[in-house]
Amino acid sequence: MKINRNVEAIIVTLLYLTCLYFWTLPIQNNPIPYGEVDAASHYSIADYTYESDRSITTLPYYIDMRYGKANKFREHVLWYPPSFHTSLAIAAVFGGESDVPIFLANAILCSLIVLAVYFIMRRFFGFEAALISGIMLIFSMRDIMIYLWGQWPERMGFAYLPLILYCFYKYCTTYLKGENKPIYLYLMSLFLVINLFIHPMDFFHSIAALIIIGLFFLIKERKIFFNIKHVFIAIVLFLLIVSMFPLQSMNVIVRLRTDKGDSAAVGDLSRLVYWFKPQLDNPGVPQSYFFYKPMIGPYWTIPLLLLGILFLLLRRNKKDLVMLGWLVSLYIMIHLDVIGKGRVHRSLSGTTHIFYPLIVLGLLYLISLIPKINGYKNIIKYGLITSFIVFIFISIGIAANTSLKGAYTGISRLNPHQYEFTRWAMENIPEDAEMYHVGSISLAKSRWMWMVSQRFVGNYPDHSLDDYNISYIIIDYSDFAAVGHQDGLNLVQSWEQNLINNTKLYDKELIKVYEFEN
Amino acid sequence: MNLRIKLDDKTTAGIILVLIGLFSFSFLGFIGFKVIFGMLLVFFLPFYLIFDKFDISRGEKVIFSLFIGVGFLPLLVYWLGVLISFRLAIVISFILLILVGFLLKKKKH
Repeated sequence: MKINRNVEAIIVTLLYLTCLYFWTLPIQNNPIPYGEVDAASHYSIADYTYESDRSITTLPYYIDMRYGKANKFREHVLWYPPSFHTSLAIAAVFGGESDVPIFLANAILCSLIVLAVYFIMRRFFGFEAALISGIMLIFSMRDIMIYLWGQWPERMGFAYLPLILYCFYKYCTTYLKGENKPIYLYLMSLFLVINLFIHPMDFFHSIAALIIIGLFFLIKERKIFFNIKHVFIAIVLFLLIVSMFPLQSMNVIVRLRTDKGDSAAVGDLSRLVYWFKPQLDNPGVPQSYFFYKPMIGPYWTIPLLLLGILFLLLRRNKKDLVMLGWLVSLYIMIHLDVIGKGRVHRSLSGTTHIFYPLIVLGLLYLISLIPKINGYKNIIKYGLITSFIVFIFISIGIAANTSLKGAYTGISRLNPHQYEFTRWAMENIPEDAEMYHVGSISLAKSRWMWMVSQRFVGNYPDHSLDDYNISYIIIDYSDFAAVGHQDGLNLVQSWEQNLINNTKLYDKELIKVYEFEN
Repeated sequence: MNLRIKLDDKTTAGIILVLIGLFSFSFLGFIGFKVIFGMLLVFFLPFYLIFDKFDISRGEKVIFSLFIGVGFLPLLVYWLGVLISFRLAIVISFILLILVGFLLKKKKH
């Protein structure tokens, strides 16, 4: 399909705005922060940067209480380079507050994969392949789940992989044609360093893909496809920029040596004949996360996926080898647990970024096999593509919409009483004070009170009073009252009765704060 | 199949900005509008001016500007923000990069 580049620009804008519409559903009607504990940590760095009007060097007390030892090379400093969090803080400055701007900027950054995959597919396989892949990725459930839970930088980092591969491909192909375009290699180097800064795991995905694709190119061309001077400059550029954050870059190296990967599958070679075996011992993610149908799409897309791979295997031009190399590298990354390395269930979240384009290629390959029937080919082709998009929307789009719309509703998000309390605590509780939350319904809820109030909050029953130097006790009836949990209310009341002789500093209908001497 | 509609670059840019503005206001309110246009301004514009100097396609310039912008500008802002006000760091980084873009453009001409 030939399309005017300006019309295409408008279509891509509409595609991405559609994506943003869905991905911002969780904050469109309720601007209060949400997510699991990881989300609260990312929020806290951006929020503190915005509120203090300074970049963080040494961690403030309340962040240090949780992440003071997260940097294994130097304690009490940021554990990853703060490029992602600084972007969120910049958005907060533009928005004039923390909550909505941070979550909106996060939705933008986390969904960049839609644009990245559109771009590489457009360059390699044309407008239709790019558009359908982009539409499918809007509804990628695994991406959406991780985005909602809070592994935000990991989501954004994956978006750099297609661009890194594209730059590598452009450099190699222009070099082999005798054209000198080292700019693509230098851009690749820049993208790699950004990739490392945003999330190290994504960087290793990119490196794995480059190695595999490089090997494929070497086998195909049987000669060197790069200039050693260009590679040297690219490496120097990479090292120069990496040195901007020595403490955080060293943390990645130390963690590589010390962090243990998923251990349950070590030596289990049967894992290799599965794309991914569900991790029954992983309580951190629901079992549906490991299955094709709820995460990727209906089973009838599997033949299309295999057809897409077959199409690439049969043709094997350099673009095809890039896609195949990407697929093979992902397979390797999600099987590293066999040798005791990696957090493979996290790597699994990059699956649809390559599966959806392959499914689309399978569909277009199938359509290309339809013989010309008196000029009806276009009608059949676009009829099939439209039907495919409709079926995909019914199969995964509706579920994605429901998940995003219903994300962290009810008591799973800070309620207005708790949010009001956090604003009060920020103004009235000393920065290095420690509070204890009684009435917490989950660790994540207390963590959000902790991070939004910018004051440490331990909680009952996850923490003991004796573990900390507690100066204030938060008596919180709000969640148990909202769900009518009488036993919970009685428990909180019994705590309050023990504090009756203490000074009450905050006294609202459902939340009170008492001074406490440990 | 040909989808050929005559649109010049300025009209296209105008339509895109209107679409983004309408979307921001409708679904995310004035805060959303400020955030989206603010991000476009500081993350995208300076790097687009810089990439304009290089011999790469327009599509590449657009996508590379965006991705380098969201990855690289924060690094500059962060280090400036260690020394001075974070808000001022954003302004100075933006101006510096815009200047680099114009200098490169001047050199090109």
